[in-house]
Amino acid sequence: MRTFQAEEHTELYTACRSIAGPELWDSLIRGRKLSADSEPLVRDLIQAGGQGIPKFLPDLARLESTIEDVRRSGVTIPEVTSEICLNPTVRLLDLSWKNLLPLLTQDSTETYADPAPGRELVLIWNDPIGKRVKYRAVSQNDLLALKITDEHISPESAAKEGNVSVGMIDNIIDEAVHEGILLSPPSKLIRDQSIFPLNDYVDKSFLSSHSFTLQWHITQACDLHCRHCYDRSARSPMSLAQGIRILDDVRMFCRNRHVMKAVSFTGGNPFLYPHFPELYRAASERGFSIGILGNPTEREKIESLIAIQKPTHFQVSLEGLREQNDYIRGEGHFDRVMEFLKVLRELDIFSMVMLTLTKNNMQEVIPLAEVLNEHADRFHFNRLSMVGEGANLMLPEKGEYIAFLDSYEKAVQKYPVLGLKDNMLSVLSYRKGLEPFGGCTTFGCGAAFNFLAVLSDGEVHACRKFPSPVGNILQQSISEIYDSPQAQRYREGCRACHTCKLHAVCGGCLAVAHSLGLNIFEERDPFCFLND
Amino acid sequence: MGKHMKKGGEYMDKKDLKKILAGISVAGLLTGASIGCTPQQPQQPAPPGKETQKEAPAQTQEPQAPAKEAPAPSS
Repeated sequence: MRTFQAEEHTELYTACRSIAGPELWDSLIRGRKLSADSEPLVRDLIQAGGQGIPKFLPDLARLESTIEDVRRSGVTIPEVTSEICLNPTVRLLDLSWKNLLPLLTQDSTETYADPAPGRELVLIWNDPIGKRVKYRAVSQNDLLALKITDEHISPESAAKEGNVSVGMIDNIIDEAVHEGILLSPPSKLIRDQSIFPLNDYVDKSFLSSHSFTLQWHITQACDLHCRHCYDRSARSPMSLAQGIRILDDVRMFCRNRHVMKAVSFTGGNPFLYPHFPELYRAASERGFSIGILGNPTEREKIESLIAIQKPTHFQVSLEGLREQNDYIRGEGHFDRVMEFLKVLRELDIFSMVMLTLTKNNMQEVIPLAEVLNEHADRFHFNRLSMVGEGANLMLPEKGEYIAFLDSYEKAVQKYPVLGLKDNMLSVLSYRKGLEPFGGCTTFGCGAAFNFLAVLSDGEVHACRKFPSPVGNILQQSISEIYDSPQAQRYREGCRACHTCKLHAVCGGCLAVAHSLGLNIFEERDPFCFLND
Repeated sequence: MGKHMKKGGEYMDKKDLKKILAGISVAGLLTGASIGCTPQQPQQPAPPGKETQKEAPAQTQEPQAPAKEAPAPSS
């Protein structure tokens, strides 16, 4: 039997001692042999009830003792598991008093319900990530996650039994994994370390993605006709049934690869896809995080989507201040976007503005940031890809672009709305001795790594910004496409970057290299200035 | 170690945890008909001197910076 030192004993029962009063508490434990087994003490506390101690004190002692026991337990949490399983440190403490947990915090700024007789199950566990003990009154979702996992019930079966969507079950499991109540195998979306080298600047967090995003261009139809549009080709939209099959397929892909699943609906204008509300609902019912990349639209349409599931973000585009933007995107567009940003803010939706950087609008980025700072949550840019009608516009010269990046990086301090995205900002960060931020997709160029782009006719591309076909999702599974040699090739990036220490947080932009006629699998982004 | 405390002054082991789980149904949990638990309760903050802490919201809820893992946009 393990014993504690006396001072540890006092520390262990901090709340009990505080509530009973130090004098009474010390008299109750005087002469007691201190032990990890709190039950003898609990029995004595029950017997001492006549001395004026609260009736809930025995249960509070159990609670404090068990938390300490979990903290000190030598139970090993496996670093790697082959399937989702229970955290072996999880304990379920069955109390006959409710509302005891707030007594442990002694937080006088909060108001809590008083302890009351009644059953309460408390979940206590060692968090494998934070390496700390956590506890809370067990929720129905906690119990469901524990039950499904412990009894090997499939999410589909659980959903059927409870008459709920499978996405709801997925999310409950994901949440329990996130909390550390359940353990999940590691993500299978991992970089090849032989060409994404670890070093003193890039750590292993940049080599493994915990999420996968499907960028889904569900329609080619668009109410705008931008001068830099990448693709105005006619592509037939898929049926709703085909779309739902894709969602099922991607859900299973993410489940098998042990990553969170996200979909970004875009187009064209996704609201012009005739089955958009139904497809959106189907994504929600399958547990996807949902983002929208689109054009300003009616408030009512956004509200109807929120009623299904609030989008994680809504991204619109601006190409400069009013005159420059409207030249690219059409008369009145700038004002419509500014009005729409107000709607997004009123609806508490994270708003993002994207700018396609050209030679002609580069000098308007920071003035636009000043305008957007009070109206949007995030503003960032991507360099022009000179494909489709975008071939009629021009990229900046390398020298002026580098000078722009320098001013942009300084402006980030002044305008919090400015985000870091373009991979050349990774180069700048490194040269300035700043921490890596992850570049375009958190993993540098994420083409065919943590995202794939699907077009309305099922064609799948490594990146939407340039022709990079890797398959067709109406004819192949997403798993087959992801594992194909074609996708692998884009995922590896250009050979010239393979030995670069920034590869995992940069990789340049394949679309820009393509725009300038380079061999994207061999030659690096011509704007790279790492070794200049 | 390895013993878990149990109602009534005894210890609860893994078998007891399984017993509790076996005694409740998936449908019951999803309709809120289960016992001894709450609909969804926030985790308590750490008691002073104990290594317990609140945690950031799950990624499935509301990512603060959705752009970080979003790919390049269409135009």
